[in-house]
Amino acid sequence: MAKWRRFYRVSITRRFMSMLIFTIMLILLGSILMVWGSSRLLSDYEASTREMKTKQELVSDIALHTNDIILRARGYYVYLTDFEYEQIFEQKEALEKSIAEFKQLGLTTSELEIIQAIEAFFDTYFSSTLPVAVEYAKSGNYEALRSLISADASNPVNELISYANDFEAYLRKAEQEKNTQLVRDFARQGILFILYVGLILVISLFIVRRMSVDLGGPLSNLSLAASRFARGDHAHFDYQEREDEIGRLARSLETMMITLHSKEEELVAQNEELLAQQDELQMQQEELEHALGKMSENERFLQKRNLLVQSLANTLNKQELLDSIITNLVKLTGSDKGMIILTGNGGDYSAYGLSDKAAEHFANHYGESLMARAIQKRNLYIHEREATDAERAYHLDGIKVTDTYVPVLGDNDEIIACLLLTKIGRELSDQEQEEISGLATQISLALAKLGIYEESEYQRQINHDMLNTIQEAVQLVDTNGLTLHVNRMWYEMFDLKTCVEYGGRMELADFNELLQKKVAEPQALIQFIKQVVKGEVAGVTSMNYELHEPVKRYVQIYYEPLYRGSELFGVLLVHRDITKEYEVDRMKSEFVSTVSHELRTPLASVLGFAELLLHRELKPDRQRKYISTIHQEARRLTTLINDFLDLQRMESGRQSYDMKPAKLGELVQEAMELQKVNVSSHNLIWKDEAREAIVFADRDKMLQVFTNLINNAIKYSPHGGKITIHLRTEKGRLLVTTQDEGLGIPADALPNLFNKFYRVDNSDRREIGGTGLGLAIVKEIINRHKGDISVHSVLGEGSAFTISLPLFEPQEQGGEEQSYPSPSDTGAADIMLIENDRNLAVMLREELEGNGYRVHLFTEGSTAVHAMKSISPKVVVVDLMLETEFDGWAVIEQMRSEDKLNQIPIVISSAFEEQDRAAKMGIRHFLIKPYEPHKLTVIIQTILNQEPAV
Amino acid sequence: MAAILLAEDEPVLRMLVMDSLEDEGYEIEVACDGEEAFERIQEREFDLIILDYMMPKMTGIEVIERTRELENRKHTKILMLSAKSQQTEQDKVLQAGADDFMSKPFSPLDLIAKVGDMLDG
Repeated sequence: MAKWRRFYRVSITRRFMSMLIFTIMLILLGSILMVWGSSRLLSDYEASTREMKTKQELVSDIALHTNDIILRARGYYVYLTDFEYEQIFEQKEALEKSIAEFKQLGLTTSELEIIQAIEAFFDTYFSSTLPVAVEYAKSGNYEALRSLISADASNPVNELISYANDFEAYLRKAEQEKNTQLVRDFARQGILFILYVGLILVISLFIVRRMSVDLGGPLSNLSLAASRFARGDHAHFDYQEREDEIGRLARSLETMMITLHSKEEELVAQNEELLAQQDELQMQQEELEHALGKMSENERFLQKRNLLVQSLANTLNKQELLDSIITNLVKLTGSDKGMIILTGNGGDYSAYGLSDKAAEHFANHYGESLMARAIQKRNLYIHEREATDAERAYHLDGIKVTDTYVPVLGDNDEIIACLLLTKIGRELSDQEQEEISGLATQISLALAKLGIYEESEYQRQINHDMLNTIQEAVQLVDTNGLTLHVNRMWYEMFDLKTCVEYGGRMELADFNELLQKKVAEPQALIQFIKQVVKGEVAGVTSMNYELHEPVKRYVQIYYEPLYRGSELFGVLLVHRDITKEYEVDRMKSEFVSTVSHELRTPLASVLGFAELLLHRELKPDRQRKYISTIHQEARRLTTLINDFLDLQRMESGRQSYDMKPAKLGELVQEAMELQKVNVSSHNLIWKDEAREAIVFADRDKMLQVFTNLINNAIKYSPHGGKITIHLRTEKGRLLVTTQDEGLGIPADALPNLFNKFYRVDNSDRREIGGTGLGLAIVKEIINRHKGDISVHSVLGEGSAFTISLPLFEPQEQGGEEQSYPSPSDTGAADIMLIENDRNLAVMLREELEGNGYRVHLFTEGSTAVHAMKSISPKVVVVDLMLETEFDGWAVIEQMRSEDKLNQIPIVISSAFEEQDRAAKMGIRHFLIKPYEPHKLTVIIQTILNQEPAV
Repeated sequence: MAAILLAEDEPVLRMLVMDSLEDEGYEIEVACDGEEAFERIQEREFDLIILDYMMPKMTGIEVIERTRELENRKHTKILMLSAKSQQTEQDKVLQAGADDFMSKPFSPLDLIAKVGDMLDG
């Protein structure tokens, strides 16, 4: 029992389920009882009804069979048929059967009486009556029969029939009673069931109430306690002892409350910690916000700066840059107008929103404006003022204007530019001021960049000019063979305009191709360059090659490796045009060879004939002939040597000329006289149309000229003929022509006619003999006299040589005098010429005077230096080798040591090649004798053009 | 007697050589320049050809080269006279096909001896 109790107490569900099952069981039991009751009532009713029916049917059957027996008997009486008879017995059997059945049933007394009566009747009937009656019938004794029948007929049978009828009525009545009874029973049963259900409901209500008291109360108490707890109040309940869910719930709740309580404490601690953290975070956030503010401020500034940088025209043109700076700065700072001025040389400036006049005025006077303060402060200076009328335009009320003076500082804190920004009607915030300062730094950078660019551009230009001035073709090739840079001379040498036809990039292969086209025997050169580029050449540092296009040149190529740090960067190929040297060299060796040939020929004759004379027995006429030949050849040798030495002297400038005014006609005639001895069949004609013409000349040399010319005319007219010498003046010059009717000169020989040892290559002329130097000497002498010689010749008809000399102007009193014109003479520049070779001095003096300079000629250095202070010449031309101890170098040193003289440009004119020493003394102008006089003029002009301030 | 062709443009030297060799009994024919010399060479066969190096119209070297190109002049003796005495010049001459070389100035007696040697050999 205790176990069951525990079973129930443990679970509310179990309890609830038990109660529910109990209730349902009661209802079910009630229902079953009711159904059972009803069905029993019904079955009782049906059983009694069926019994009565069966009784009734049996009564009916009995009645019927009885009736039939009687009737069949009577039929048989009448008809005497067997069938009727048999039927009587059949009916008797059926009757007996029914009676037997009937007897089985519960019979009332009356019924038993009736049945017994019937049985008694038929016992009699069949045992007596019938066999009698049958006998009567068979005997036809109807009378007896009738009486017999009538005697016994009526009693039990009729009685039975009426009973049957009565019984039927009784049954009907009994059935009715039964029905009524049944209805009554049902009604009673229904009432009982309703009462029963009501009882169950009451029980249920009781159960529910118990349940609600048992569950609802504690639950609501618990929920109240929970909600109180949730509200934070103290909650108390005491269901913990219970074993069911409530108990468990209560315990759990209590545990939970305890846990929560402890958690809460923990949480409170955590919360406090969090709060502290939050405070900290908040502080950090504030800091961050502050930083963010600064950053966005910075960002704004940077944006502006970037805008400035981006918008600054990407130019390296100063003016463009300034324009760009001021335009953008005015826009960026929200100013209305502004101006930037560079403080350096040139004072470039650019204005925005200003009239040209105002801008120019400020550019010239900014130093006197408030800018001076900004410059002094080296910081912004802000000035607020009322707008001027112009600035106010049509506004009538006063407008505030803010001028911001900004000095732009360079790297070394020097002022490189000044800025003025003007804002009309708006104030300049502190932040804007800072921004302007920042932008000023940016501008400083831009200007510095420009400065660097200008400087590097200047350097580049200098380098470029230097490179292009060099007379060597310079080519920089990198280690891959790509040509990186060439100079002007290079283009000239290879006859290229640009490298464009090589796609702007000349690879080694392109260059080789170029060389293939332009160089004679290019393979060796190509190989050389290939090795040089690869850095493989050892020992050989240069080679020579021959260019045949565009003009024939001999070129020496040498190279210098170019290093960047320690790494080979490329190779500098230098193509040096050595055509002149080559020619000189070639001419020299040719000359030596020629001289040797020219000397050996007469020597061979002299030696040969002398040997024959010595070792042979010869006839006197042959001896004579040989001796005469020896003499002639020895003379030829002498002439040759003399001519040769003359020419050498003249060419080297060492030949001195004794220049004097001379009547040329007389000289020519003298020469003619001298040559008359050589004349055989020639007719010398003298045609003088300038008898009194005077030239400034060295008599002896002029005599040599005409002797040579007349001698040539005679020599090369082996068959005689007229030789006309014609003297005349033309356009201030004296012309002398020697015309012969001789062999003439082939046209191809004319260009070389005046070259040394040149002889028209023809055997018949070999007979004529000659040194091949005569005309070269003539030309040299004539050049020295500022003259010209020309030739006109037709092969086989004769030749005409014409000499042209300047006529001597009598007012020119020669060059000997040493005048000291006063420095106050104006006009032409004073040039001092210190030269001890008088001929040369006179010549140079004429050259310079002819070009409008005033020349002061000195032969001694000391006198010259002494005079220099009073003359103050613009240029001093000095020979190094002067006659006294006081030579050219002494003059230069003296000049350098004196303040008044050390700035005077010096030109050295000397036969010594001492350019290095001159360069050390800072003298760049060096003329090596012999030189053409006009070169001096060119140099002096250059100097005076370059140095106008001296 | 042996026939010698002398090609020399300098008349004085021509006379010297001619006189020297004629006295020895040689038959001398002269030419005044290279072209003329080559014409003579083509015309007839000489026992010896004496050529000056520097001659107008055709140099001695050219004459030698052209002579050696001729079918029947391959072995004609050639002596070259030259004012150029350098070894290189001599080599050039010998390479071109000359048999011997004498530089100017030369001794007539040496020349006679050399000519004799060449004709004997």
